[in-house]
Amino acid sequence: MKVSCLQENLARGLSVVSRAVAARSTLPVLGNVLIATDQGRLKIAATNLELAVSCWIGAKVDEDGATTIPARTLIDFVNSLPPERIDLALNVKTQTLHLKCARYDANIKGIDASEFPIIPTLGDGKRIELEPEILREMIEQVSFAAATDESRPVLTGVIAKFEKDKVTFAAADGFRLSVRHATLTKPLEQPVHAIIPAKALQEVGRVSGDQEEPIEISVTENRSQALFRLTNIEIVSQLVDGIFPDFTRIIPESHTTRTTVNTAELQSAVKASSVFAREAMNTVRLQIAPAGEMGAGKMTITAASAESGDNLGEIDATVDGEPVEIAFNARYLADVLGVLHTPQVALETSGSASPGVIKAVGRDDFTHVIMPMHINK
Amino acid sequence: MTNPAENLSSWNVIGHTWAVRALAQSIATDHIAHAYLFTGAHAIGKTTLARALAKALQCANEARPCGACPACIKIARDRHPDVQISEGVPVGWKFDEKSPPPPPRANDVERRILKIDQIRAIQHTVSRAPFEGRWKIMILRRFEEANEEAQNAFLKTLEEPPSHTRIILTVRDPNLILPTIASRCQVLPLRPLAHAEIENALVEKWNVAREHARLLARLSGGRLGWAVRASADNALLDTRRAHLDELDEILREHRAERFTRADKLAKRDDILQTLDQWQGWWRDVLLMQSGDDSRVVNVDRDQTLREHASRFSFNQIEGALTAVRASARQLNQNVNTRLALEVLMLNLPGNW
Repeated sequence: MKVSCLQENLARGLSVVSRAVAARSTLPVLGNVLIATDQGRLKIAATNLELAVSCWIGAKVDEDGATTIPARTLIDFVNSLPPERIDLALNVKTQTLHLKCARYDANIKGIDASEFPIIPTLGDGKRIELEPEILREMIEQVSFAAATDESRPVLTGVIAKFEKDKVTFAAADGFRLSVRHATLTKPLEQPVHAIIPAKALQEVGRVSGDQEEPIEISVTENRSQALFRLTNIEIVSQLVDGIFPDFTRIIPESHTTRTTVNTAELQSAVKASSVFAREAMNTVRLQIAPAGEMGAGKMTITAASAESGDNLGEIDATVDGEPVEIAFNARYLADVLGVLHTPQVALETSGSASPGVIKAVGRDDFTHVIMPMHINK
Repeated sequence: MTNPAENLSSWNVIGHTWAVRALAQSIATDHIAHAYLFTGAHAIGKTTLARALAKALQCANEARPCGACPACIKIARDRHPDVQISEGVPVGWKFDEKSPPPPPRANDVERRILKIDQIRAIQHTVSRAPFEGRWKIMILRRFEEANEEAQNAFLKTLEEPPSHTRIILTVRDPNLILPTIASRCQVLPLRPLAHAEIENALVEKWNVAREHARLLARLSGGRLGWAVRASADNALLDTRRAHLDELDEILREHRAERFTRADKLAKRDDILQTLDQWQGWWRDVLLMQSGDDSRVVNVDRDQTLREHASRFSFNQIEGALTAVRASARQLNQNVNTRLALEVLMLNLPGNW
């Protein structure tokens, strides 16, 4: 293999695939990145068997070939090189990659490319196209609600449902649920359902920052992998095996109080309260009072801890319904308020023991449900 | 199409024919159990059979396993992304995703523990679909090393593994694991191989000289893995020779010398292995004396065996055998090592 490319391109390609490197696996080759020539370009790939990321960069190929090189060594070395041309040459017999850039030289020992797992490519499966901004926002608004502990593996994933011209992403961890809908430009003939690990989706969100063309999504025939194709980047994720709980039943159908407040104001008040909530299981209380003889409607946000003290914040609110007092985990509130992107947020509640529903005012494509915390009266 | 259960040679497993046939049949008829438990003595071929089964399940060819396709080759080298072989970690080892894999086992007697964190990592792995193979195959070796916590944590996965998962456990003795584990698996108890089978395999596949193969086959106790290792590593036979020489010397020693000997032996960490070899020795002497030398194990020391058989009476030999067995049992029950060995020294026959 003999290839030349620019340092910036190689460094960027390596950073795209770096999160998929499994540094300490029982399979040593998973700690390496695959470097291979592919139709006049250089393909860089890494996988941890759950997630595989491939990236193509422009290069001048003099001689085809492939090898795998320890990721850490290669990334650290390439990042320390000047932004000039890098010449790569592989000694096939010793599987040693020679790098030359300006006045720097290095030889890095690799492992034969045949040991690298075969990364699946986009087959004949149904291709779904989504605008990158929409997909990124869906990932942002849903994936944080997925469970991080492994006791129920399906909850570490995001259920993605593609039906006709609608797409729905949902994730839940037992305490909260996030659901986001969007419309597809090209309707599908057959519905596709898949549980995609939240970490994989977050990776798609991370590397799609510069993407302008629509992102192609495809789920393989036997439903074991989902593939995301960007310009010059492909991400393959193993799907989570199992059945995702029916989340529509968790979303309350009615409410007794609907409270609309300014998103930024609520965010600040929750942030202030979380200082005291830290030592009280993260509990913040929301006291909601409708407009009446006492004045305009308002929401009072409080937190109290036996050790450090207590606080109170007040914001204006448009309250439709009965007064209510409800407590939530401050982190959960902060998480959802951070991804709303609308100036106004609506909270729908039915008493202090029923789940609260959070919606972005002016949009009907996002629903978030949080289980309340118990309040001692 | 030939019946896959007919041609077993491609499995490349020596002995255990009935087990291989049963497995081939279940693959041919698509009745693969979701979990298998292979039991049998150490180095008898449990992991070899597990690897062969993994190949048969993952192989891309019609006649499975072919042994030549990329999947079979990767499995043979433990490099297949969807076939994971796990075993315990050294005592005190901290296991988490970020820690490097534990070092390979230093020797057979090294004590290890299979921890609940490892089981959790396996549960995470099986929750994801296979990467390039048909199945996700988890081989857990020496499952008797799993502590009770880990075994209990594994029950649910064993009972209802994800649809693409197959689990293979290997255990020395099924009584060493929770009955609830064994009852969730299809159990295949592997039996020791015949001496001739091992002898021929050593000569044909490992190019061992016939005479040496004969000795190794007998010493192996029907465990091909041990015989193969001993054929490559002279240290195993050297220590055995040293142990038997030692016994021969002891038999010529007087009481006072034997007490010094007991003191030295008590400090050695391979004392149980030594006693095991001595027990085999006395069995051979007994066989020699009764005139049945066809079943003798220590065939390379024929001369000494005959000498002992004529020097000692039946009662002395039988007494020695009983004494060695008793000491081994006592040591397993945590009796003071030096005291137990002193008693043994007095019970071994002598010229007084």
